[in-house]
Amino acid sequence: MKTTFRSCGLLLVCFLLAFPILKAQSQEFPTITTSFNNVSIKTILEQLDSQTEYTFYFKPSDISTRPVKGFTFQDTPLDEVLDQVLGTTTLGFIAYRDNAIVILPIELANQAFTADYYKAKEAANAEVTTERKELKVGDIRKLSVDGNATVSGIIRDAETKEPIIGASISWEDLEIGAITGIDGEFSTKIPAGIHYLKISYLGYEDINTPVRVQSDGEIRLSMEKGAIDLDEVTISANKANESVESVQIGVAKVDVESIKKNPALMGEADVVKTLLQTAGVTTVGEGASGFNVRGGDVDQNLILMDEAILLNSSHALGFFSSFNTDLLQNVELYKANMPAQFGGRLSSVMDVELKDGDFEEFKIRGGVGPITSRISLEGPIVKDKVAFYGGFRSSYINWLLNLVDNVEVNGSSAFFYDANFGLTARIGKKNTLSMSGYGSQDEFIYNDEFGFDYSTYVAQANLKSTFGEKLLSKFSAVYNTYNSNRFDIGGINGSRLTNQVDYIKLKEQLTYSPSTNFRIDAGASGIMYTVKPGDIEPFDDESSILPSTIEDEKGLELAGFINTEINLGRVLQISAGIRASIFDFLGPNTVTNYENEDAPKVNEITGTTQFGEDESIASYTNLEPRASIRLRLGENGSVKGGYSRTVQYINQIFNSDSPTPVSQWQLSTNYIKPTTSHNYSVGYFLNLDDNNWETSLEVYSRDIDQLFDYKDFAVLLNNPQLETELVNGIGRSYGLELSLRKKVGKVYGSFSYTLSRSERLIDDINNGKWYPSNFDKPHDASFVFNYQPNRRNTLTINFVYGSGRPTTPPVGNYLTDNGLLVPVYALRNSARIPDYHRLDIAYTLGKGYKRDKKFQTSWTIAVYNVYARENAFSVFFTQGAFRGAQANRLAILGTAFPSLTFNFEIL
Amino acid sequence: MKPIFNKRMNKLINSTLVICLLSLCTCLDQIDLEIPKGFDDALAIQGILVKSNPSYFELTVSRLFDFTPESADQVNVREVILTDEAGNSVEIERTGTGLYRTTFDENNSDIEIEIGKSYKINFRTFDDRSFESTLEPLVAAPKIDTITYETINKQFVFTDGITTFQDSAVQYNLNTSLQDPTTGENRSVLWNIFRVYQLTDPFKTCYITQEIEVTDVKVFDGFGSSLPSLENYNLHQDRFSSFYAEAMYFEVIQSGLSEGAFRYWNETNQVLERDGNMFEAPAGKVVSNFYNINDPDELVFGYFYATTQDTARIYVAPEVVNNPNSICNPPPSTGPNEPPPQCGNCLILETSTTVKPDYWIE
Repeated sequence: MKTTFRSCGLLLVCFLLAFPILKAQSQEFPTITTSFNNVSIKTILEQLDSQTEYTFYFKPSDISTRPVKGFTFQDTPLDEVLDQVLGTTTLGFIAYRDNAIVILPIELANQAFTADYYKAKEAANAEVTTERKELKVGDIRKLSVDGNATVSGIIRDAETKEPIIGASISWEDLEIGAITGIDGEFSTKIPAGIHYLKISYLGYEDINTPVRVQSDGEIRLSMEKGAIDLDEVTISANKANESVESVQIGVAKVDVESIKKNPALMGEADVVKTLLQTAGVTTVGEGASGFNVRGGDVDQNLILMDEAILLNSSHALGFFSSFNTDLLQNVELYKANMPAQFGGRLSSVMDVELKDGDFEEFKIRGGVGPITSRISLEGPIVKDKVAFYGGFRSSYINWLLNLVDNVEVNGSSAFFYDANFGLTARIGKKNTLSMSGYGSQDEFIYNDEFGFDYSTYVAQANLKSTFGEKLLSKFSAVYNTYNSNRFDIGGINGSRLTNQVDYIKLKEQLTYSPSTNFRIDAGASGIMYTVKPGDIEPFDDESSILPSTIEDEKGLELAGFINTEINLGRVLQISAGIRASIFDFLGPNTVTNYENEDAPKVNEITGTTQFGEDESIASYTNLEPRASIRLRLGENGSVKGGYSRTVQYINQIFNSDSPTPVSQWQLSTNYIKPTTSHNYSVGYFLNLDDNNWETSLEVYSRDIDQLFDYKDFAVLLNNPQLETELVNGIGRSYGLELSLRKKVGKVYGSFSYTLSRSERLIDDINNGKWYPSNFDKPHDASFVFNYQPNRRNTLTINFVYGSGRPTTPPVGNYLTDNGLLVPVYALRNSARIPDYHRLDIAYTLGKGYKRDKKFQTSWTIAVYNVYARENAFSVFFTQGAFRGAQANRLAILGTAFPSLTFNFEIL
Repeated sequence: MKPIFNKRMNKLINSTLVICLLSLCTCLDQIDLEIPKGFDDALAIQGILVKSNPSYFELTVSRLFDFTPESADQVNVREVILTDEAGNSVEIERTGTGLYRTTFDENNSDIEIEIGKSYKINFRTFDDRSFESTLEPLVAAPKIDTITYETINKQFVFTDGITTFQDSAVQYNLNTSLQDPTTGENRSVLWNIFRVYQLTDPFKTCYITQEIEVTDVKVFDGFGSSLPSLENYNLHQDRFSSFYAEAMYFEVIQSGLSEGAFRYWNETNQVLERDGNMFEAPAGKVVSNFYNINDPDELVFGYFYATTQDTARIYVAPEVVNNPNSICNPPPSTGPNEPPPQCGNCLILETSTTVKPDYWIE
């Protein structure tokens, strides 16, 4: 359908100066038969616009509205018609391309164009390689008087419809650019005219398109994932030079698509296992729950599913994480240096953003592996207004247990599932409301003797609102309940231990971005915790277990924060903020009093004090400054530094290398102080080969000025005087992280190496000398090699190496009077188990080349632990005849594990 | 109760992992590991005071040894003195290297051995270190009602912790009170289990008392139990063996434990059950109730406790265990090995006697 423009402005000049124009004389014009009587030139042009295939452009102020003499034309070529009509005025015309006529002052119409103009014209023509049609923005009648137009827009992922943050917007001919911000939005002010727009984002195909800009207006574009680019990236920055340019130090972003290509145990792709390929991120071993960041404990990681804090992010102890990879939108890890909007943990923030659902079309995805399967679906409920997503994942491990030649194992069962559901509604143009739920459960029974189960249920609502173009509000409300049960089935020791953590979280965050050089985030959050530390009850009538209940504990964590990002020229960027946190340990509760309250002992109890409902038992206030600075060194390099103060008011209680799913969470109390840490880091970042290679060298240090460890044989379960089992101290960790990454090409991959120490100093342990923490791993390295000759085929090789974790060896023994040989252990963590290393290979036959194919499949065949390394799950000691202690290594995954996983998408 | 819960938790977690982590492919092997030097000159002291008829006291002192029992280094000390809470004391004589033992004549002793009283030990080493125990109350052991047994067929695990095999066994069950007979309150108990079996050589019949090899400490937390007694408590499973060939008694000695003694034995049990996996708490030092008077920070191992004891036993006839062959008369299929020396002289075995125990009824 023809569109008619009846006015034009200064953009005509732009047309003339920048784009291909052909004089009327060089074209063949259609003939017309018509007549005009007592009408204005403007009316004549409008009628010609409607009667012909031509669009007429003119500046209203140039055109007289007075009636002119009558004209009659019979099969007259259009150019002759215009000559006659305009001959009575000072106007001329030129034809632009095939179907445009520009009316303009005669002197301009007759102007001879410069060589530069034709050069630009050629160049512009050369750029138009895309099949995209020309985009039009705005209405020529609304063009501002200065001839400039503000072109804003939003860039989304073509598949998921999620906004793309950090995409590069470039008006190629104008050399004007911008970066999409929160919600994928951008805004540029450019002269009206036809310009060439290039949009690029790592992992996506570039968009190149001419845009006819006529006035202020908006563009909405979708980017498709690149045929090669995206799949190449395992862990990528937001944009090509993000690692160099961003001010924040120690941030890793996981590309969710690459997760499924990573070789995984039993084919179950896992985001946490992918994170372990990042420098500074380690695990204490196979099966360990969670991960350790820069010498921090597992519970010192804040794991966010959108705005919900997950207190347990693992299935099957620690073998699989709680995240369904089909539902992931964005995963970022902040290592120690985190902006002020994050808090509550010492070591890191793992910020996992789930999809919103597709607002335009239904999609189904799924996968079938040896021990788990998953399915997810998404689509619109009201097109472009309301979308939903849902996902379900479940295990079926029992067939494997039945293969084990052991009746006790045969008589066991294990099972887990998780499910997600979300609903997102666009309310008007400025509000987006999303509501989501998550549930997961694990169950395990061993030979009808004992077992455990644990579950997480989360409900959350997030409302994003924009106020104008510069202010964004995000309000979140979260409810979470985490429950774990451990039970001995029947018999004299039959018992059930239950503990639970519930919390309600409210958070408001405002983001103000008056310009691309300045941004401020501010807000407040509150979390009300209710912790049931543990109830023990007899399993049945046979049990001799005494029922025991510990009072519920309640705590309120409030925080206010403000964080600014300032660009001071191209070289210097600063991010600075502060977080003020207040924690109140609240009643009702009965607090035990001790002779020495700084060192509570069971045999020094002097009485108890009763606190009433919501009465403050202990209160802690902390200021947590955060700062990062980036100094650009040339085009491709930068130096960054960062400092953060972090505080943690809820800790998991476990005195082992790895927590179990049933390790209880403990609020800070009047005796158990919050753990606190100073985190420092500095690094050099250098990109090479047009940002295809990313390198970085970071040095970090953490001073933990308040932590606790556990006395020998600490009784941690269902202990109302838990504080008597803890000892306070300090900790430190420091290290060097080297990272090298090639992002694109047929061959790509990464290498990371971490040299670090993590130590503790506690008066009552190891004679008050520094000793290695349980997760001290001096050397940790990861190498990922990908070969992707085309879009469809990918070979991934993954090698990991790490120092063995510390262990406490026996150094002697003695005989008891009943003939038992009792080992005597040396200083805590004074030896190490053997180093860990493993090689995995995966081949992925990916989705087909036809993007519009409705049913797409992919296969991943993987071998985990290719050379069957017998990595130690445990090391225990026996006595050898006439020898010292003999170390024995038990490897539970001491063979190669092949797997085949089938993934599908119905689009 | 709580420590036992911890112990079971370890078992649970380990078993879970072995399952979830595909026990199809577990492997165990020996590795070289650098182990730091131990504690030089640290002493292990074991003391027990038993009120019985007659009451007796026994103390052994040794240095820590380097994983080989053969290297056990019993240490002689000076002036071993047992003192009661009133300050009455008696010096204990040495009866062997590092071994001090005495029995008390109820009518002629410097010190009275009574339930409810507390006792402590002092001694000096020849390098002039003085050691003392804290006062330990003498507690009364709850009374055993009966022992029963049943034969079972079950899966056992080899010492490698992985390999399993099916075998027949006698399962011994205990019926016992948990209440202190003097106070009526629940008390924790420690069990020592023995086999007393008959072995006949060409010339005589011997009766041998042998502590059954176990790998753990058999304790029960009576303090944390809601039950006043245990019924059919599975105490031990003993595979069918040649010990049953002629005749055998299963014997249980039950001791009462103070809270401190229970803590010691329970922590010892945790140390014995360690397998070094990542879900285990770090190994710790079992707290002793001995200390060096002049250097309280010096590491000392072992414990002194005081108790009464109750003994129960049950006879298991050979036919119950399918009449196994005697060790001296093995079936031909087992090969040409010569019978062990005790088949020629059964008295060469330690704790062997030809005196038939007075309870022995075949």
